[in-house]
Amino acid sequence: MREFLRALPENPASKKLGQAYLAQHPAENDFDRLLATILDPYAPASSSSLRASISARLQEDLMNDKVLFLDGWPITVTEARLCALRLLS
Amino acid sequence: MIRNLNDIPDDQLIECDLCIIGAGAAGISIANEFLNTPLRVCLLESGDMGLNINTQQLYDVENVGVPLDDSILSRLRFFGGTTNHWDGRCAPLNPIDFEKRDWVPNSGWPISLQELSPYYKRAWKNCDLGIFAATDDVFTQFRIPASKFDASELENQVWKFSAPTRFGPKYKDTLSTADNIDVILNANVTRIQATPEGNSISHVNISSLEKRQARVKARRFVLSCGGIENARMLLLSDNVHPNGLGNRNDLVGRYFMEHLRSKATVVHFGDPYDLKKTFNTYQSRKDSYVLGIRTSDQVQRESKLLNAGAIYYYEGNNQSATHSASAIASNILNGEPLKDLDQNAVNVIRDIDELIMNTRRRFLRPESNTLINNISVLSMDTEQAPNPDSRIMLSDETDGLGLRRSKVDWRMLDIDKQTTVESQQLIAKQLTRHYHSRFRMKDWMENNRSDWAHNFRDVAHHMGTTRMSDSPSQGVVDRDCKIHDIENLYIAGSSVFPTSGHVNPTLTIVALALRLADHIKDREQVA
Repeated sequence: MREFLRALPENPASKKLGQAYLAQHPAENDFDRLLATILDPYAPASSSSLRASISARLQEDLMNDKVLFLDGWPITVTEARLCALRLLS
Repeated sequence: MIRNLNDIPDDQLIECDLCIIGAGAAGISIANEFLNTPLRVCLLESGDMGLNINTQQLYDVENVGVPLDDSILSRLRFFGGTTNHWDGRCAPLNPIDFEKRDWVPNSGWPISLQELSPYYKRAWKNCDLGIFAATDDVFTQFRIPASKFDASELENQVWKFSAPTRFGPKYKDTLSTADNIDVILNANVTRIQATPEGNSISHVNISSLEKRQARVKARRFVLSCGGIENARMLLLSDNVHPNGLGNRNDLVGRYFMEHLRSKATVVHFGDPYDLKKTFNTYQSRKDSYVLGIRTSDQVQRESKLLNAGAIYYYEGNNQSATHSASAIASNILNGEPLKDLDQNAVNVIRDIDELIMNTRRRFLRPESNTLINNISVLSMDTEQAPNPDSRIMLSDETDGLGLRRSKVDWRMLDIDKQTTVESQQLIAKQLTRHYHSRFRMKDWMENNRSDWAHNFRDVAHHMGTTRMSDSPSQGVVDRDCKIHDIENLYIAGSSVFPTSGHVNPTLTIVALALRLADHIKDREQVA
């Protein structure tokens, strides 16, 4: 899990997106709750399976129009949650 | 014959059957239709055969609303009018543009696209656009890969480029040798004179900047001076009708519309060629097209939006390997000294992959402009809703002829902003989903800033100020482009558009002009 969190982007732009997401969704301003929205509880916790799972979620977001506008950018819900997760970690 | 008003004796009365005021795309198209007919036609042009800054200054306006970018030089005031510098991008209006849309107040044309279609075909020829090709034919001709966008949201939109045809140089010789056409240059109309009864026009007064004056008497008159000047001329002619000609219902000058241009920088995170291989410019020996997108009718109906269309520009990056390699090759081929060789060599070595990819594609798809980098620019033109408070009035300032200038109060409605924002959001989402490309919406689009209207650029497509309607209470001209209640004064040009659509207006201006010419021929019983 630490390896996964370290792999998340940490730069001013992604922080800004994370902050914007949490401002729009204050109920998700909780590390464990946010993590649960991203991780598949039944999937093995290897980094490769995590990547595959997140990649699938990104595709699903795009196909189901789960796209938000944060700071003017079109961002999938999963991408926004990842930015927020890094901010809270 | 082509004459200069300054060479005609002062105060002469010139008599003809048809007087056309303004020699731009509309005026010249109408005059052409009467070549070698029994009708004597007088075509009046404010300017000469080339640009004169004193004449151009007559276009200056007073801005009291959202200011126009450049009112003096965005239009050209000499023989051929603004076709002397137009870029030639042509497309017919979309079918939905003619409809009465219940979410767009004051929408709906009194004529249909079907009625205008034969004239679009003739206008196509006048603008040297070659053979008309449907969108599918363009895809086939250039082997264009299908769009990945969801067609229920974003449809393909094709524009074809005219040479661009400069109507002045192209038609000058034909008009000058025709026995029945009298072109008078430096002839500024200073008044359109109504009869004392006010239901017809007797003559127009003309003057050069050097104060040489004359009168032109005709059976019929066509006003074709452009979207701002048409309204101004009617308002200035107020000695019989105090509010100006055709202005009994206070509609002249109202409903002033523009196309609202907004841009966004698109970043391609995947293969930059993915978007470009479909949405690009395409050229063959005879034809030149640009393929873009527009919001679908379905989206417009469901989200209650106006029409909007967009194209992509793939601007060259002067630090790219392709640009640097081109610069070196150009120097060598032209026998010039190698400029900036160190920097160009570094650029080529640094991005050798990009150079190889570009070179391969240039040879594989020679018809397509293939300069690539990971940035493109989305340029969107949004239709503007007809708004009676957006208008042309008369200023207290005067021009070089002592005539009151136009006072332009350009305004926008919430639906104009909403359409731009929601159309851009739709495109942004589709680009993210299908092309791994994204752009950032501008701050003003997300925030409720009161100055949002000032973020749009006008594109000198002035429309709507003498709108067409079957009812005199809702428009200045009728479906034949004749002013309601004035039996012999017609309007040609984009000022008659009741709504604007999103495409460039010139092709529609010419189509309507040809339709008006047919109507006048019919009335005059000219074969």
